[in-house]
Amino acid sequence: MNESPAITLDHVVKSYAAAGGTVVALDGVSLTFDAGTSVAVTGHSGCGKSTLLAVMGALEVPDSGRVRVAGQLLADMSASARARIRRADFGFIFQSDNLIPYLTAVENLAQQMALSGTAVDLSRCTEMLQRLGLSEHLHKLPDQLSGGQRQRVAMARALVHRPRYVLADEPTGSLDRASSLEAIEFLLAQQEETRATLVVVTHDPSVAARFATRVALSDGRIVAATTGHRPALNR
Amino acid sequence: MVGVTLGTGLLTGVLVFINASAATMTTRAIAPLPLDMQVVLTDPFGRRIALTEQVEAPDRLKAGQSATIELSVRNLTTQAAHEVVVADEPPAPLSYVNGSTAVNGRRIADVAGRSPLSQGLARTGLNVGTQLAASTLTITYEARANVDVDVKDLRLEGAVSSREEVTRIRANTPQPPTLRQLAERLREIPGIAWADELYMIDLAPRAVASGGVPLDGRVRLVGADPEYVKHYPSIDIVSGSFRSSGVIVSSETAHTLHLTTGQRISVSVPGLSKPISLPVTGIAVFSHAQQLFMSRKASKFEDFLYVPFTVIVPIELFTEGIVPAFRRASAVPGAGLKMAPLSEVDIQVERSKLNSSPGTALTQATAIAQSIREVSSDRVLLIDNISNALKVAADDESTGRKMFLFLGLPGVLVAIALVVFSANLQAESQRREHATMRLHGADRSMLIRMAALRTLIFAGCAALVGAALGFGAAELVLGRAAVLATPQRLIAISFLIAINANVIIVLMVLTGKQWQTSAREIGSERQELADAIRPVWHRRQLDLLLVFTATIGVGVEALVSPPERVSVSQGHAASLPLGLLVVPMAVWLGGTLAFGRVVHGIAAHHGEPGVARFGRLIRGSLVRSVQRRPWSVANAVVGIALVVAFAANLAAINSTYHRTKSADTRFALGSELRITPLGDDALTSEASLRKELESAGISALTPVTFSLENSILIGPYDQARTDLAAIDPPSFARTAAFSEAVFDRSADKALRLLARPGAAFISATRADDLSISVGDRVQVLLARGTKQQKLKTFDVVGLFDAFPGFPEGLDVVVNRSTYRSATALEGVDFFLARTPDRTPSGTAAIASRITRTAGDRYPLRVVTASAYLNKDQSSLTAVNVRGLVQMGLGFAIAIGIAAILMVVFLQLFQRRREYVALRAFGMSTSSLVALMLGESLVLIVVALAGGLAIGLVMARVFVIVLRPMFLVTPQFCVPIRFLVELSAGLVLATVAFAVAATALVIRPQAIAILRET
Repeated sequence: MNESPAITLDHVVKSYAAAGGTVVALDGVSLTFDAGTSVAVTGHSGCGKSTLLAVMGALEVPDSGRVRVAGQLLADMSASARARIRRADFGFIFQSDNLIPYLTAVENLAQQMALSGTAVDLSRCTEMLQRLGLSEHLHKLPDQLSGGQRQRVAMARALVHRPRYVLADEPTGSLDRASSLEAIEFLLAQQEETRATLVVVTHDPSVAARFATRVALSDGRIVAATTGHRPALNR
Repeated sequence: MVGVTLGTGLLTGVLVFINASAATMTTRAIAPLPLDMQVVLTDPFGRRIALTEQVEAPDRLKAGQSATIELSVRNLTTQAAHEVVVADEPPAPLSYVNGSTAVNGRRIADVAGRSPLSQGLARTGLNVGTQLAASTLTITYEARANVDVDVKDLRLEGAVSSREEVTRIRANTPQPPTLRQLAERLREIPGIAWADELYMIDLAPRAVASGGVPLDGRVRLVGADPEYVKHYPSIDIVSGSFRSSGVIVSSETAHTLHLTTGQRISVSVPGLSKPISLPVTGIAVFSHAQQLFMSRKASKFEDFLYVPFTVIVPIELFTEGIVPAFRRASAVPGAGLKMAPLSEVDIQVERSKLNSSPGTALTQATAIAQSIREVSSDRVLLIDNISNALKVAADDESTGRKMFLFLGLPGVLVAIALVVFSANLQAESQRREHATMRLHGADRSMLIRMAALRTLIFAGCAALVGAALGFGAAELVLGRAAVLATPQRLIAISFLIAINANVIIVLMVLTGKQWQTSAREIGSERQELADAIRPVWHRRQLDLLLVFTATIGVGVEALVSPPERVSVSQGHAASLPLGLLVVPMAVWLGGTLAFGRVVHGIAAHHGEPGVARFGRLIRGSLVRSVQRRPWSVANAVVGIALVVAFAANLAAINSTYHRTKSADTRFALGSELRITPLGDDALTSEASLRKELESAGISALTPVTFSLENSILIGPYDQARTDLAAIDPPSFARTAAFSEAVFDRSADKALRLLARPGAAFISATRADDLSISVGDRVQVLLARGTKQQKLKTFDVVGLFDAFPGFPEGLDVVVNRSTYRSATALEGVDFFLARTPDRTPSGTAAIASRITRTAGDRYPLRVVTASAYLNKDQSSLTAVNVRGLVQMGLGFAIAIGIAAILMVVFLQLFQRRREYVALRAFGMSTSSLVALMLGESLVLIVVALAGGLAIGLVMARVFVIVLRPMFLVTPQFCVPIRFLVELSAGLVLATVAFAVAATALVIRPQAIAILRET
């Protein structure tokens, strides 16, 4: 296991302009995510979880503080450099699947591979989907799939190009409990296999319980961070 | 809002354009008129003889009772009246009592048992012989009532005539007013600006002299008030002024007699014992005074027959001296007077009151004419030039409205399509929002009310802005004066129609869409839609129906023989077949929709999932995006292609119309310049004039001998008076717009044939009338009615339908050398000239040079093609086709850009989640631009290709339908440069919008959308 820090946040502040004034989403957050670890970020709605993920994933730039990804300071990077690091090293999963509506399940994965700059390997795309139980749905368009199926395709897309970091923002928010757990198990299994850094934002305690490391946020600040043993995977 | 603004703008622009053009058409129609109306006294000497008739009887006659009818003939003049004829019949129900007629109390015999006042079948009257000056003759006869009758109900039929008073004068007719009285009555009529008396008489050569030197040419003597000269500025006084104490002479008169103001001339008038001596108070150029020289004869009506030696004298000289003198002279048998003085009142209508459409102006002018008839006697002739011009203009207005309708309608439909498109866009943007509101309990009526309210506010504001935009556009094209001169009521109606139409359309689309969507499942409304639904036109196969209609229309157009060509210079209205005007519309709409069907078919055919390889990122994504969203692609292509086709159609019509109109004008005029010598033959030597003209810089010149009915064409079975032109074939070929002539063979070959001695071309119409065929030998009486008339045999070498320089038609064309050798006539009626620079400014410069140089020595009338187009043609030239087309084109380009803007941003709007996701997943800015631009460019390029092709086909069909408006066959002209620029502009706009759309996607805050569920 590579224990060197993958992503570090140092006194990161991020605020947004809102109707009633400025909303501070992250208020001096300092965190270190070691490579190959899986972390759950928890907290109530509006506590800054998604903003934390956006800042970590080079989607947004903090107002102050420093964010380093694999030692590189994001503040020093141009927008295109940040885009480059995102497509090469990150896999994103959102609560909404955000699948490309005119591409089939397998093509959504293929597009992600093409985007990341790796050679498009349709057999890997197919295999990923098969492992998620979507063998029958490889060539279906997103609107021909159920919500759960679409979310599984979205997970496969986030992992298909073997990213170093997988960031998931409420990945199970639109799934039922059984499907949620199934999806989390899949993510954790993949993380274990690829040794990627997995950060999952969730407000679901049962999902968070599947992670050995958990960070709790409240009003943009870290209020708790626990590290323990991760429960055995439910394979 | 952009869609509604442009839609309202175009509709307002077209409507304002139509109404403002109608007023312009009126102005244009009446502008060239030298005189609005002329009231001509048919007997300028006044009535010489009068007849009164009365019945001497009780108020009521019983059946069988008799009455005495008394007729009194009075000679009103100081000369004897000769061959006085009195005619009368007893008024019904009275019958003549045989043998009861008496003249001055002396009984006379009946003729063939009938009244001597009603002899024979023709009911000719009684010739009572000569009646002495100022004497009265009384005729009486008895008549018996057949039934009871009131005497006041009897209609008396007596009439009198004499050798001097040829026209029968009915009994008890009041004395007609004098010219002065008539003018005074006419001035009282509302709507008449002025009514001026005018006398004219042509005197024999040598009638005018100065210092003992006579003018060796015909002299036109004009009697007018100084006010007349002020009212008609075409009388250009170059020296002195016109005073009631003296005369104005023409510059030619002054030049020939070496006159200056202050000198005197003597005028010899028939009937006066000695010449009148008059001081010259002014010298004027009359060559533009059309009202003095236009023919009043029906056979040469409105021909400009210039008389170089012209003198204007005070009107009192005419009324007190010249007219009485002529009256005296005319009473002398054998005096040989060829004409009586022309006595007329020249009327100018208040033109500001005619500032409306030709139809309305015609009604007003007709009302004025009716008032004139009411105050005039039956012994006047009203020449109503203005109503005639307005009648043609009213017909032209109808044609113009049809043209406007069909040139403007596609634009309005495009604008409506844009409005519908933008309304759909707005409905689309509200889809999720409304679905969420439904989720929280909002019902259908609530949502529809919300949509309607929002529409009224936004579309109403946009429509107001659009109406102002349209008004401004029409004003820009037509000019402020033309638009402001349009009745405010019509402008207000245009605004109301345009604003209401657009707001109602948006309202219908939005509420309809709301009705439709609220019927669907809430869940499905909250989903992202991969593709649009199949459009109505495809479900109803409207495209195929329209293409079928267009095909049938084009077929009919091809099969039906072309309509009779009517030149706009002929004073007739051109007519357009309304039914066929629908065909270009069907081509446009049907062609574009069918093109959309093809695009959809191609895209959908290749879009099935299951592709083995993905390909490169952009290409793989792009191809699938197009293939898997065939209706979205087809709809966008149809929308843009409609606009592009409309713009291409307008551009092609514009260039074709402009080119054909120029060719048409050149053909009607004959060439770039027509130079008409105004002087007598004695003043104009062809050789020296030719030299002058050639030195002015013209590149080719050809003389033409022509006048109306100057020949008699004698065919194998029949003959007719004909208009003959004698031309010089080689120089005519070099100079005239000959390539446009319509022959039964090539124009060049025709002229080669005509170069043979004794060769003649006959118009196809005349040949048909006289049963003449090519190869026949015909006889032609040349120079008919002159001392040089000569019968000559010609070989008919060809037929023609139209000949350059003779838009009103021509019957015979012969070689001028043959004509000259046969008649020994050397005169040239006009020259056609070609200029090296054929632009309007180049031609005008040479025309001006000719007027300055040659015009000093010879009175000339020089007309350029552009001046002919602007001034001498009918009101149809006021149908500012070019202006309308250019305005439509401007809006088409704006709508095209707006459509592209909408397509790009609709794409962004509908697919923002997809693009933001790709950006979040690391897609570079350049790849994102490439993807968004690629999708837009595919649409634009396909739409451009289809739209340009369909637009050109539409324009081609339009040009065929517009054929009757031209004299020459329109040559279809594709404005390649403009179309390339248009395409490049639209592509550039696409690139700019795609880049702007990308900038919105790559904003960091855009990723918030990815968290939305």
